[in-house]
Amino acid sequence: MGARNVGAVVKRLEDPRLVTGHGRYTDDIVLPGMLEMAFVRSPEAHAAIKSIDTSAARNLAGVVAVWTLTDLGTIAQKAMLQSYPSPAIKQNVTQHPLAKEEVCYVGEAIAVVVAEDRYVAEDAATLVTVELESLPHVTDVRDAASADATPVHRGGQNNLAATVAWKFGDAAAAFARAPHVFRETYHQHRGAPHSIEGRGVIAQYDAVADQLTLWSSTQSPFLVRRYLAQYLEREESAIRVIAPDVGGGFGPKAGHYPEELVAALVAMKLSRPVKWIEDRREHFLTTNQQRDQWWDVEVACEPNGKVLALRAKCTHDNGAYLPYGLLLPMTSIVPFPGPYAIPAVEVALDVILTNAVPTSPIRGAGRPCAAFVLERTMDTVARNLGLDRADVRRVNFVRKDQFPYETGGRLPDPV
Amino acid sequence: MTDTRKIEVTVNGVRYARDVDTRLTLADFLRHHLGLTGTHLGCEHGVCGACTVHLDGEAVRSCILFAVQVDGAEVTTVEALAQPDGTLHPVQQAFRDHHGLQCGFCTPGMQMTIVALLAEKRAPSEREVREAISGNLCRCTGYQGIVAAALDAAQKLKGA
Repeated sequence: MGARNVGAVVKRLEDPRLVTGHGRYTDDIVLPGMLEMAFVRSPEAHAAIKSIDTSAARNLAGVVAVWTLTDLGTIAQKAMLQSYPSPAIKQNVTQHPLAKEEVCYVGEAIAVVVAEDRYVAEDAATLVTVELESLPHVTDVRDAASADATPVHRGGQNNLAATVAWKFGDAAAAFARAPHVFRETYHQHRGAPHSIEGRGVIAQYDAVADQLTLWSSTQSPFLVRRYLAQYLEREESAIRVIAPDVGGGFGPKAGHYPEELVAALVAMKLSRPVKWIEDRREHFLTTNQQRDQWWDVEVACEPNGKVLALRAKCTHDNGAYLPYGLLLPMTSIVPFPGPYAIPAVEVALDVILTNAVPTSPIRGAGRPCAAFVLERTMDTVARNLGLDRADVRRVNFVRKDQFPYETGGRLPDPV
Repeated sequence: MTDTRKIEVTVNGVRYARDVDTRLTLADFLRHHLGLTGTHLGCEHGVCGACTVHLDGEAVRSCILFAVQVDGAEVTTVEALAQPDGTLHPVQQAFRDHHGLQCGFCTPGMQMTIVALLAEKRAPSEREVREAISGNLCRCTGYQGIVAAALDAAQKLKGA
């Protein structure tokens, strides 16, 4: 077995350049003739776009182009591709590279400015006049899940993007005979990723070779290439995606984003390299987040704290779109019963759309959410029965003699 | 709308005379005009500390200073910490030895803050190190390796 590094101090090969300031992150790359992009973004959670006036921005010295979705050509009129398709998705809503007729969260990109440098690009972005007609919005996931909820997307029947349930054991029988049943509700709030380096992309198009090259601060260069190729209707071999040094990712840099598509389309249209570097405000507004989730939990147990069955309902806020399918909410419900030998579990999940920035896997991708629910449930049992919290866990842990322990759970079908 | 001024500034021992826009930040001047990309931008509003450099020996945030403000001053960036022959500064070596970095993006700012601290205080306590880096955010390490690196570097520098 190759265990030569176990217990050894392993020096990283990349450290000498990173500690001396010679790393090469996306914004450190400068290409000849490169332009910089800034985005005009929605200040509203939900609005219809009535008109966009780019004339003042276009007239500013140093501005090369100010474009909306229409300007990006017929290829960009379709929604972005689903990174993680699933037959369980009822409403497969993904963004357009730039907003089409409607904005559904604060920060959604409406127009792109391309200029000689970022200072000018940002000046010009403030000169773009967007006439918005406010639409009713919903940002609390419980409100969004209600029967008479405001639709997150105009014309939507409801905000239910998917519903999934899975179970093992006989929970109904266990609840019927259990000496104790406790109920609790847990809220796990939204969280943002905040790598210290934000997102960023450079696109370069070589018209002679018909070759598109992207440098992106991404965790998944091959995924970005695959979806760029499919969206742009190009061969994968005609696209190269390079992840240079990346200043932190934590999950949300594993997907593909509208700005990468816009950069590619702009570079091809202008035949000049373009760069976009996300600023911190944009990161707050537009980089995928995680949760929030409301969990309604019922637990059936013995007087000694031994859990007989668990029923849980998760209401998951996926924001305005599903950029990464159901991966985050699904990963929140499948870790049950965790380290505990719970003989019967029923978990139901509603994936709900809200007028907020989308959510996707971040740092544990939902598993910490499940662990939170399980651990708070153990605490609930201990508190209600006046038992020590550690003792409740001891009585519930999978015992040594139970290994290999099979829960009886199977991945929900279809996912 | 651009308003330019001539500045003269010494960066890492080299004297530069440049015409700069009055609104150009010191960070962008260093990164894009002088090509010193070791100074990083994480938040661009003085919160994360990734852009920390030395201005006349004092640790400052280059994202909330304008280039025109350093006219006549001396600026030191992470690129000047190692010896010309490539020998790492004790703080840099300690970061490597103690796994004080993962992605490396906050690292230059962290190191500049710690070098300034050690110039002022030869034997800081762990608490003083944590206080000193309280204005530098790291999302990868959990700070343990960084604090260990700073304390180790202090020991090495004292013995030097």
